[in-house]
Amino acid sequence: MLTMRLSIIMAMMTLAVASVTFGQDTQAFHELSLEELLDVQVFSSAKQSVPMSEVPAAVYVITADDIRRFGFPNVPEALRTVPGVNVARIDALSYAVTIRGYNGRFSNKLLVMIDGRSIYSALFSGVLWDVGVPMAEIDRIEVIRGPGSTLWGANAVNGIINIITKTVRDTDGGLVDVQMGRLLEASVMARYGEYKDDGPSFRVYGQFQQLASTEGLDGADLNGGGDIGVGGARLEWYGEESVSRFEVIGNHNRGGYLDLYPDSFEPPYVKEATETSEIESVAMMYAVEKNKSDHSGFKLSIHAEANRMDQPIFGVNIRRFGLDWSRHLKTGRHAVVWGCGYKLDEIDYLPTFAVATTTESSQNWRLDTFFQDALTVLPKRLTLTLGAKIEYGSLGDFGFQPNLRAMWTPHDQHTVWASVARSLRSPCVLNVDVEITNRVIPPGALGPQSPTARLRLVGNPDFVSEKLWANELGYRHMPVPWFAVDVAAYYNRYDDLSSMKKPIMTPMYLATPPHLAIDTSFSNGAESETWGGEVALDLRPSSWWRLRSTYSLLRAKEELVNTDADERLQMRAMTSPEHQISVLASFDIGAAVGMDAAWRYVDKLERIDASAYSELDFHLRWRVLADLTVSAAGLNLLGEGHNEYHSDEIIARRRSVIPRHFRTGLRWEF
Amino acid sequence: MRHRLAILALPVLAMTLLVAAAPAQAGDEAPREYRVKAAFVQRFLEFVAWTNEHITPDGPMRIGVVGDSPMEAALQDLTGDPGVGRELLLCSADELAENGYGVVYVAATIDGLPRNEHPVWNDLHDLSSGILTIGEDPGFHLSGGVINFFAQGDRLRFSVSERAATGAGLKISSKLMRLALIVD
Repeated sequence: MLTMRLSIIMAMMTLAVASVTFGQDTQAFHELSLEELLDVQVFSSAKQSVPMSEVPAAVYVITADDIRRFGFPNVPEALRTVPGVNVARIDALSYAVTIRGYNGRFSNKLLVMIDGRSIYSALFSGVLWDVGVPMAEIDRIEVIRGPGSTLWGANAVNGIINIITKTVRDTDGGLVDVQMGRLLEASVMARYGEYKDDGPSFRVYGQFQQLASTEGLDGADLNGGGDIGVGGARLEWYGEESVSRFEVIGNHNRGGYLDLYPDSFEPPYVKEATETSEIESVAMMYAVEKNKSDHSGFKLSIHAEANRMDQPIFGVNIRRFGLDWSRHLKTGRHAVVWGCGYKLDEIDYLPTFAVATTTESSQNWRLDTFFQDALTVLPKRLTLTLGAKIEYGSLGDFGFQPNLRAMWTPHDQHTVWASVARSLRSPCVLNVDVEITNRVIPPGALGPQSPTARLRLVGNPDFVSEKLWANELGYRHMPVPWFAVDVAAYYNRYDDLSSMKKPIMTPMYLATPPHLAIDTSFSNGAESETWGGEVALDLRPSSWWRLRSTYSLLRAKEELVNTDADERLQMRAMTSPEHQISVLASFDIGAAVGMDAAWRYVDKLERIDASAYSELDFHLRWRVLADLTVSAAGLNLLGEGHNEYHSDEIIARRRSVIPRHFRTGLRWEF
Repeated sequence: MRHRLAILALPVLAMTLLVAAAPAQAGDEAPREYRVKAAFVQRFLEFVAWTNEHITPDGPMRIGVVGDSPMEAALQDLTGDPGVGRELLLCSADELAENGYGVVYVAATIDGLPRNEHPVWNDLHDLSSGILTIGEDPGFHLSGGVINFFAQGDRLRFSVSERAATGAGLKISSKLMRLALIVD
């Protein structure tokens, strides 16, 4: 193993050195076709996000070029490269993703959007990452650390992940992408689109991925794995000042989710989910964007969505309707944005022994309105941004979320920004309506003659929003066009943070069978402070060579303020690592061959007993013909495998080993 | 663990060494933006036909750069390359004017003046017939330019004025039009 690692590293070094010596790649671009030239990332990283870099916030952008270079099979894998973001793969199908602390499969302080449509589940305010969008469809992923609640929707507490897909204009023609490997056994993606500027343009696409099961720490097959299918069609119309889009997306996932759950009062009291779980969804969306010059415009989007989740542990049908409208205007020194949004979720529960609900169905709505003014105090030097969002809904309390930001550019090469913002995570169905049985305790286990006991987590209708005051400070410096540094620091103060009440025991004599109910429920009994920062370096010594490195730090201090809160059941910020480091190296050898390596170090997860690890991924791409590319990737090359996450505190899960694996691919564009 | 860390140190070390060697390379070539623009320009030639019958489709093409731009260096890199489909002859704007046809890349500023305020532009404009004008400032099409580059996000895009193309005696293929933003 050691020799293999060494030989890979040596090969990398040799190639890198070889290209230093012979790499006159000034010829590289002219071998590209017009379509490929249109896809070349031309402007440097600081400039590439021109609209984003003018935002006084901690922003990082994953481009289509990064996605192509590293061959990321899904969004969470791509997010591993972003500072401040912690990605932990739980097993073949599930991920835990968060920004700046509090990670979990059901982590709920993050807003994730695809083309402005938020994809968080109405159930637990989090995202099921196994449902997604094909990577080849994505134009860029903008990741904003810190609250952005003023402009974006609810849940934008710790950060926002904004996935933006390519327009039909960008994907004229066809694409077939096939990958085969070990963990990702097969992935087939096909797309065809036609662009017209004087009529409707269209694109249809589909992707099927099959994933093998991971193994447990003891080497046992965990009976996980499964397949993920997604298909969609999109129509776009281009007017002189407007773009309209209609899109239908369908998802179907089937697989083993490795939950351990109680399903009766009978021995063995715990069941492993061996049955197949299914998740299906259909979403329809209409969006129109109109811009009269740079100074004025509006956006409107309407979407309807139906989800069906059928798992051994729980089932649910969710129908969602959403509408968002915003208007922007620039006059003199003011750049103003305002708008409003409405969301309605209708949920039918299919309860089981493990997950029951207090009602058969529920209907929840939320209304929000926001306003922001970016005032140019000194042109090109000082900008002040003031905004607020007001939210009201059937589940949450009335939420006022103000934000003040300042950006100072004392010199073209230096930018300093600061922000103070308040942000809310509104209650979700899980907090209010759901009763989860964590465990059935066998008779005699709590003491001699003790009865069978049932440990439950019961929803609390009085649960209110979790609140955050976030203070941020950032600095960007680009001394030369080929080097940029981006530093951000934060101090977050959370109030009314979710806690679990001390369990209350109630003998249930009349139930069948008679048992002892040990119930805990959600309350707003905790407070915490988190602080830390991120550093991102971007170095492009030459056009054929780019190095990026990031470091993220997270610290936390937490306390329970309600006397009825239970210390042992508390959710913690440190389910995310204290230190994370990543290094990305990209090389081009001529126009045809690209080589990319990603190394990362992830600190131990103290709260859930996952060890620190470091891993190396390597991706090689060779354009054999103008429209045909072959690729090969080796992932997690530094060891046989490692565990990245244990389980959520609510639903137990078997510990998985994420193995070293390989992938080969073929991409044909026509 | 210690063992593994030692191995990790290697790629980090390798990168550090590479970085140390890097800056010497950095300044030697034209900026990426212009190398990509130059690549675009030589691709454009495959899709533009001169209606003037004296011009053969794959003969050498004269190309000039007007104004303050690293474009000349970027094009220079392409001229000697056998991989380029059509031979490029770099020449001055005056030579082009004498010759009567060719390609001119017009920078946003000429001798520090905005392009359209400089006399060279007006001279060029007067004999635009037979000349494919390519520019990079927002008002380029308004003053009769044929193809214009603009930035969209981190990518380069281009727009084509059909009217200017026809006026200059150029026929632009549908494939190029398909990829371009069309103005009037």
